[in-house]
Amino acid sequence: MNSKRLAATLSIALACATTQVQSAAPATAPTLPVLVALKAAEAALAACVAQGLTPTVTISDREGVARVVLVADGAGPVSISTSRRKAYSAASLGISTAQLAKNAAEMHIVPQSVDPELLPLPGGFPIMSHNIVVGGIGVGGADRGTSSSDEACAQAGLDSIKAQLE
Amino acid sequence: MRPVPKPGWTASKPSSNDTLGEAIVKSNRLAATLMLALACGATGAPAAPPAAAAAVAPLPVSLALQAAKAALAACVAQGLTVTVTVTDREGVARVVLLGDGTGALSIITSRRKAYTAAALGMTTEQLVKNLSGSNFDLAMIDPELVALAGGIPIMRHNVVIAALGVGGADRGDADVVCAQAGVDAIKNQLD
Amino acid sequence: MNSIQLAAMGLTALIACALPAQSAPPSAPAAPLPLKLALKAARTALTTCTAQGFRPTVTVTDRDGVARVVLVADGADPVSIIASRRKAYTAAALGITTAQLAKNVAASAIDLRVLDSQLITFGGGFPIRRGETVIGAIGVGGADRANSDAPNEACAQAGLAAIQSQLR
Repeated sequence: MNSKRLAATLSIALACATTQVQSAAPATAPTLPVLVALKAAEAALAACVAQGLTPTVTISDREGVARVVLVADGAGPVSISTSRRKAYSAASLGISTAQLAKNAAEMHIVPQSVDPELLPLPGGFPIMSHNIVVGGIGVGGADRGTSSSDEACAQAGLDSIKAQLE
Repeated sequence: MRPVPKPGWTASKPSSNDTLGEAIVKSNRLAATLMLALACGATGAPAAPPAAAAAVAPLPVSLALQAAKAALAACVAQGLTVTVTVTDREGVARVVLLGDGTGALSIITSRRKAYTAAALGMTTEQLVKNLSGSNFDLAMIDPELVALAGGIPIMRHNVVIAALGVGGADRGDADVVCAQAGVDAIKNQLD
Repeated sequence: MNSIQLAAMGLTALIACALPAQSAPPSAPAAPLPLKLALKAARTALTTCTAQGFRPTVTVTDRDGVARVVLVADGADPVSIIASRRKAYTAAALGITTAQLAKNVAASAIDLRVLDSQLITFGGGFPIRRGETVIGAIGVGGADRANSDAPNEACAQAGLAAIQSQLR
């Protein structure tokens, strides 16, 4: 129990190192419908595939559970797991995984030792609707080893559903 | 059943001169940079964008076996006992040859080297070079990855279609030499 | 002969008795199932079921049973996520439908868990073939009604039908 409480506290610390604006939750919390999630996933995937890259795209709900997974032809198990973990990280902490990496470095915390599903590598973003986290998008393995294209593709995914999130 | 790699979370290993805090900060700050370095240090950008991966035919088992036998023979000729693993493009082992007298560890390292080369699209020898001087924790990404020389990706039209890993030679660059012999044996049949 | 060897023999029998006689093996590996087709099948299966008010999970795997597309309907039961994946895995691994596997297992006394804990005998998993070769599988879970997997199966088959003509 102590370690779970510690993990929860550290998770909050990792997320709150970034200031966020949270409005009061609406009476019915917004959710991310699967077809909207699928649209974002397809857009993220297309953005990467157009450059000859082979990523996995995962969209999770706000608890970080994968709801849509698209594995590009030629993508391997590393991209599948990193994509899933980035979506999980972004959804559960409410910050991008690039921000998570910065926060962790400043605070001298190794996120994976708090929760082995966390992954402090760029490519994961929370999906926000009315300032509420409704899910996470994670792109992994676009370049078979770098994270340099992961973020751009994930952002393309987010951009494709901007209208639906308002 | 194909093993599913679990997320690794090994805490960064500090070098002997760092405090634990410094080592953690160093490794995390390096993480993003090194992820770039992991691939950029390789053969450099391909001349043309790779063909769509779906369109490129996978490596048939006949060629995988031919490559594995050639790699094994190259090592046996030097009196070395090794394991050779050839994986498909997703790092699943499709051919495994255990030389007589090989030990359990070489089975594991051979598989992980091939897996790593398939997953990252570079030789593990190059990966070792890219990571030298840092304490970046590869296991954070995937505990199946390993930074040991001896894994080589097999390409067709600039697309990774397979990988070959040699483990157990335990002598300088012998793993690399045997692995290269294996890949060279089928080079001309990959059009 | 130990129990695993017995189970392996039994499993081979379970699969073999369900298959038509195989012609000569293909000379080159069949092209894998591209994501485009996997997604088309998955999306069709999903919308077929959600249109009827079900909340399924659909999984499409490659020939090794690794999930390449997962679609979880809004409000789907978390168990459906697992069931869907395992049905697809089973169909890919064994090359038969999960319903057929259930029939074969009922006729014998094999405990599949001895072989692989991921195998499952609930209807809704179908192999995807290019010619005679299994190149993937589709599994639908969570659309059961009154203890019947018929809706799961129907939605999976709708997904298969959507891509049948493109699997040459």
